[in-house]
Amino acid sequence: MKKTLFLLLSLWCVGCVHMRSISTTSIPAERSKPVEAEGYRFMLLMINVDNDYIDGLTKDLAAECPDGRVEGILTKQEDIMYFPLIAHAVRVTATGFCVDPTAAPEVPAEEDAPEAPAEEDAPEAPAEEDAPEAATPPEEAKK
Amino acid sequence: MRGFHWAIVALMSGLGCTHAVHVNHTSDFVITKPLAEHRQIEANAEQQVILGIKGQTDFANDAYRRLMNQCEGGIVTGIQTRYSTSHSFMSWTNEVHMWGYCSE
Repeated sequence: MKKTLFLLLSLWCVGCVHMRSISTTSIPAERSKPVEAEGYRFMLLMINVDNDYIDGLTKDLAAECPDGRVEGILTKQEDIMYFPLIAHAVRVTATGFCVDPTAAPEVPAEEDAPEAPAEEDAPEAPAEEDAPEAATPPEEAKK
Repeated sequence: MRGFHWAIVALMSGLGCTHAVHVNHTSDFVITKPLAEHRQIEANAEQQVILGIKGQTDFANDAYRRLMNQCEGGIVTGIQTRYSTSHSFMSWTNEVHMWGYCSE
Protein backbone atom coordinates (compact mmCIF):
# COMPACT_ATOMS: atom_id res chain seq x y z
CA MET A 1 0.00 0.00 0.00
CA LYS A 2 2.84 2.38 0.89
CA LYS A 3 4.53 1.57 -2.40
CA THR A 4 1.36 2.44 -4.30
CA LEU A 5 1.00 5.76 -2.49
CA PHE A 6 4.66 6.53 -3.12
CA LEU A 7 4.20 5.73 -6.80
CA LEU A 8 1.15 7.97 -7.08
CA LEU A 9 2.92 10.82 -5.29
CA SER A 10 5.91 10.39 -7.56
CA LEU A 11 3.70 10.59 -10.61
CA TRP A 12 1.99 13.71 -9.27
CA CYS A 13 5.37 15.37 -8.82
CA VAL A 14 6.06 15.46 -12.54
CA GLY A 15 3.86 18.52 -12.87
CA CYS A 16 0.39 18.59 -14.30
CA VAL A 17 -1.47 21.12 -16.37
CA HIS A 18 -5.24 21.22 -16.54
CA MET A 19 -7.36 23.57 -18.60
CA ARG A 20 -10.02 25.48 -16.70
CA SER A 21 -11.68 27.42 -19.49
CA ILE A 22 -11.41 28.34 -23.13
CA SER A 23 -13.06 30.92 -25.35
CA THR A 24 -12.52 32.46 -28.75
CA THR A 25 -13.70 35.39 -30.81
CA SER A 26 -14.31 35.53 -34.56
CA ILE A 27 -11.27 34.51 -36.60
CA PRO A 28 -10.23 37.01 -39.29
CA ALA A 29 -9.32 36.18 -42.87
CA GLU A 30 -5.95 37.85 -42.48
CA ARG A 31 -3.80 35.66 -40.23
CA SER A 32 -0.29 36.71 -41.07
CA LYS A 33 0.51 38.48 -37.80
CA PRO A 34 -0.09 36.31 -34.74
CA VAL A 35 0.09 37.99 -31.36
CA GLU A 36 0.23 36.49 -27.89
CA ALA A 37 0.00 37.64 -24.29
CA GLU A 38 0.19 35.74 -21.03
CA GLY A 39 -0.70 36.24 -17.41
CA TYR A 40 1.00 33.99 -14.86
CA ARG A 41 0.82 33.66 -11.10
CA PHE A 42 2.84 31.24 -8.99
CA MET A 43 1.17 30.24 -5.75
CA LEU A 44 3.01 28.85 -2.77
CA LEU A 45 0.75 26.67 -0.61
CA MET A 46 -2.07 27.60 -3.01
CA ILE A 47 -2.22 31.11 -1.60
CA ASN A 48 -3.08 33.80 -4.09
CA VAL A 49 -3.04 37.35 -2.75
CA ASP A 50 -4.75 39.05 -5.71
CA ASN A 51 -5.92 38.54 -9.29
CA ASP A 52 -4.03 41.44 -10.84
CA TYR A 53 -1.80 39.18 -12.88
CA ILE A 54 -4.33 39.05 -15.71
CA ASP A 55 -5.17 42.75 -15.75
CA GLY A 56 -2.46 43.56 -18.27
CA LEU A 57 -3.47 40.88 -20.75
CA THR A 58 -5.43 43.17 -23.05
CA LYS A 59 -2.79 45.88 -22.88
CA ASP A 60 -0.09 43.38 -23.76
CA LEU A 61 -2.06 42.21 -26.78
CA ALA A 62 -2.66 45.80 -27.85
CA ALA A 63 1.03 46.60 -27.44
CA GLU A 64 1.87 43.91 -29.98
CA CYS A 65 -0.62 45.39 -32.41
CA PRO A 66 -0.41 49.15 -31.90
CA ASP A 67 -1.72 50.16 -35.31
CA GLY A 68 -4.21 47.38 -35.86
CA ARG A 69 -7.06 45.41 -34.40
CA VAL A 70 -6.67 42.06 -32.60
CA GLU A 71 -9.14 39.41 -33.74
CA GLY A 72 -9.52 35.67 -33.35
CA ILE A 73 -8.51 35.80 -29.70
CA LEU A 74 -8.20 32.34 -28.20
CA THR A 75 -8.11 32.61 -24.41
CA LYS A 76 -7.10 29.68 -22.23
CA GLN A 77 -6.91 29.45 -18.47
CA GLU A 78 -4.75 26.66 -17.11
CA ASP A 79 -4.03 25.38 -13.63
CA ILE A 80 -0.47 24.17 -13.18
CA MET A 81 0.60 21.89 -10.34
CA TYR A 82 4.33 21.58 -9.75
CA PHE A 83 3.96 19.77 -6.42
CA PRO A 84 0.73 18.81 -4.62
CA LEU A 85 -0.44 21.49 -2.17
CA ILE A 86 2.98 23.16 -2.16
CA ALA A 87 3.58 24.68 -5.57
CA HIS A 88 0.82 25.69 -7.94
CA ALA A 89 0.35 28.29 -10.64
CA VAL A 90 -2.33 29.74 -12.87
CA ARG A 91 -1.66 30.76 -16.44
CA VAL A 92 -3.98 32.69 -18.72
CA THR A 93 -2.92 32.80 -22.36
CA ALA A 94 -4.47 34.94 -25.08
CA THR A 95 -3.46 34.48 -28.70
CA GLY A 96 -4.87 36.23 -31.72
CA PHE A 97 -4.12 37.92 -35.01
CA CYS A 98 -3.21 41.52 -35.64
CA VAL A 99 -5.37 42.84 -38.45
CA ASP A 100 -5.02 46.09 -40.37
CA PRO A 101 -7.98 48.15 -39.13
CA THR A 102 -8.63 49.69 -42.53
CA ALA A 103 -8.05 46.75 -44.85
CA ALA A 104 -9.77 43.86 -43.09
CA PRO A 105 -13.34 45.14 -42.81
CA GLU A 106 -13.34 46.27 -46.42
CA VAL A 107 -12.67 42.77 -47.75
CA PRO A 108 -16.09 41.33 -46.96
CA ALA A 109 -17.74 44.59 -47.95
CA GLU A 110 -16.14 44.42 -51.36
CA GLU A 111 -17.26 40.83 -51.72
CA ASP A 112 -20.79 41.95 -51.09
CA ALA A 113 -20.46 44.72 -53.61
CA PRO A 114 -21.94 42.68 -56.47
CA GLU A 115 -25.08 42.19 -54.43
CA ALA A 116 -25.30 45.89 -53.70
CA PRO A 117 -26.31 46.95 -57.20
CA ALA A 118 -29.44 44.84 -56.91
CA GLU A 119 -30.38 46.81 -53.83
CA GLU A 120 -29.38 50.02 -55.52
CA ASP A 121 -31.68 49.15 -58.37
CA ALA A 122 -34.53 48.85 -55.94
CA PRO A 123 -34.92 52.57 -55.31
CA GLU A 124 -35.76 52.95 -58.97
CA ALA A 125 -38.63 50.58 -58.42
CA PRO A 126 -41.59 51.56 -56.24
CA ALA A 127 -40.51 52.44 -52.71
CA GLU A 128 -42.83 49.80 -51.23
CA GLU A 129 -40.70 47.02 -52.67
CA ASP A 130 -37.72 48.23 -50.66
CA ALA A 131 -39.31 47.38 -47.37
CA PRO A 132 -39.42 43.57 -47.75
CA GLU A 133 -35.89 43.49 -49.14
CA ALA A 134 -34.62 45.55 -46.28
CA ALA A 135 -36.35 43.30 -43.78
CA THR A 136 -34.88 40.09 -45.20
CA PRO A 137 -31.29 40.26 -43.93
CA PRO A 138 -32.18 40.85 -40.25
CA GLU A 139 -34.61 37.92 -40.32
CA GLU A 140 -32.00 35.65 -41.75
CA ALA A 141 -29.46 36.96 -39.31
CA LYS A 142 -31.72 35.96 -36.44
CA LYS A 143 -31.86 32.42 -37.77
CA MET B 1 -16.21 -12.30 -3.61
CA ARG B 2 -12.85 -10.91 -4.57
CA GLY B 3 -13.42 -11.94 -8.15
CA PHE B 4 -16.72 -10.08 -8.11
CA HIS B 5 -14.97 -6.90 -6.99
CA TRP B 6 -12.46 -7.19 -9.80
CA ALA B 7 -15.27 -7.79 -12.27
CA ILE B 8 -16.94 -4.55 -11.13
CA VAL B 9 -13.66 -2.66 -11.45
CA ALA B 10 -13.05 -4.10 -14.93
CA LEU B 11 -16.59 -3.21 -15.97
CA MET B 12 -16.25 0.37 -14.72
CA SER B 13 -12.91 0.80 -16.41
CA GLY B 14 -14.46 0.07 -19.76
CA LEU B 15 -17.32 2.52 -19.40
CA GLY B 16 -17.63 6.24 -19.68
CA CYS B 17 -19.21 6.87 -16.31
CA THR B 18 -20.00 10.58 -16.21
CA HIS B 19 -19.81 13.57 -18.47
CA ALA B 20 -19.39 17.23 -17.64
CA VAL B 21 -19.48 20.43 -19.62
CA HIS B 22 -17.10 22.99 -18.13
CA VAL B 23 -17.45 25.85 -20.57
CA ASN B 24 -19.82 26.70 -23.38
CA HIS B 25 -18.84 29.98 -25.01
CA THR B 26 -20.26 31.76 -28.03
CA SER B 27 -18.26 34.36 -29.87
CA ASP B 28 -19.45 37.50 -31.57
CA PHE B 29 -21.04 37.41 -35.02
CA VAL B 30 -19.18 39.41 -37.63
CA ILE B 31 -21.37 39.13 -40.69
CA THR B 32 -21.65 41.15 -43.85
CA LYS B 33 -24.13 38.84 -45.53
CA PRO B 34 -26.90 36.53 -44.30
CA LEU B 35 -25.81 33.59 -42.19
CA ALA B 36 -27.51 31.28 -44.67
CA GLU B 37 -24.78 32.14 -47.14
CA HIS B 38 -22.09 31.04 -44.71
CA ARG B 39 -20.63 27.56 -44.61
CA GLN B 40 -21.00 25.76 -41.30
CA ILE B 41 -17.78 24.23 -40.07
CA GLU B 42 -16.77 22.34 -36.96
CA ALA B 43 -13.67 20.88 -35.38
CA ASN B 44 -12.79 19.00 -32.25
CA ALA B 45 -9.75 17.74 -30.39
CA GLU B 46 -9.41 15.35 -27.48
CA GLN B 47 -6.94 14.70 -24.71
CA GLN B 48 -6.74 11.43 -22.81
CA VAL B 49 -5.75 11.92 -19.17
CA ILE B 50 -4.75 9.00 -16.97
CA LEU B 51 -4.54 9.49 -13.20
CA GLY B 52 -4.74 13.23 -13.75
CA ILE B 53 -1.27 13.43 -15.21
CA LYS B 54 -0.83 15.65 -18.24
CA GLY B 55 1.76 18.29 -18.92
CA GLN B 56 0.07 20.47 -21.53
CA THR B 57 -3.25 21.54 -23.01
CA ASP B 58 -2.24 21.85 -26.66
CA PHE B 59 -5.32 19.96 -27.79
CA ALA B 60 -7.33 23.16 -27.36
CA ASN B 61 -5.06 24.96 -29.79
CA ASP B 62 -5.40 22.02 -32.17
CA ALA B 63 -9.19 22.38 -32.22
CA TYR B 64 -8.85 26.10 -32.89
CA ARG B 65 -6.34 25.47 -35.69
CA ARG B 66 -8.49 22.76 -37.30
CA LEU B 67 -11.48 25.09 -37.34
CA MET B 68 -9.42 27.92 -38.76
CA ASN B 69 -7.89 25.76 -41.48
CA GLN B 70 -11.32 24.87 -42.82
CA CYS B 71 -11.87 28.51 -43.75
CA GLU B 72 -8.75 29.68 -45.57
CA GLY B 73 -9.15 33.24 -46.73
CA GLY B 74 -12.48 33.70 -44.97
CA ILE B 75 -13.75 34.89 -41.61
CA VAL B 76 -14.83 32.33 -39.05
CA THR B 77 -17.55 33.86 -36.93
CA GLY B 78 -20.29 32.86 -34.50
CA ILE B 79 -17.98 30.31 -32.94
CA GLN B 80 -19.49 28.11 -30.26
CA THR B 81 -16.85 26.50 -28.07
CA ARG B 82 -17.66 23.58 -25.81
CA TYR B 83 -15.09 22.28 -23.36
CA SER B 84 -16.21 19.04 -21.76
CA THR B 85 -14.90 15.96 -20.02
CA SER B 86 -16.01 12.34 -20.20
CA HIS B 87 -14.89 10.39 -17.17
CA SER B 88 -13.85 6.79 -17.10
CA PHE B 89 -12.21 4.68 -14.42
CA MET B 90 -9.11 6.49 -13.16
CA SER B 91 -8.92 8.32 -16.44
CA TRP B 92 -10.87 10.84 -18.43
CA THR B 93 -11.03 12.45 -21.82
CA ASN B 94 -11.05 16.20 -22.24
CA GLU B 95 -12.66 17.45 -25.41
CA VAL B 96 -12.88 20.84 -27.09
CA HIS B 97 -15.52 21.07 -29.79
CA MET B 98 -15.96 24.19 -31.90
CA TRP B 99 -18.68 25.13 -34.37
CA GLY B 100 -18.60 28.23 -36.52
CA TYR B 101 -19.65 29.94 -39.74
CA CYS B 102 -17.17 30.46 -42.57
CA SER B 103 -17.77 33.51 -44.74
CA GLU B 104 -15.86 32.40 -47.81
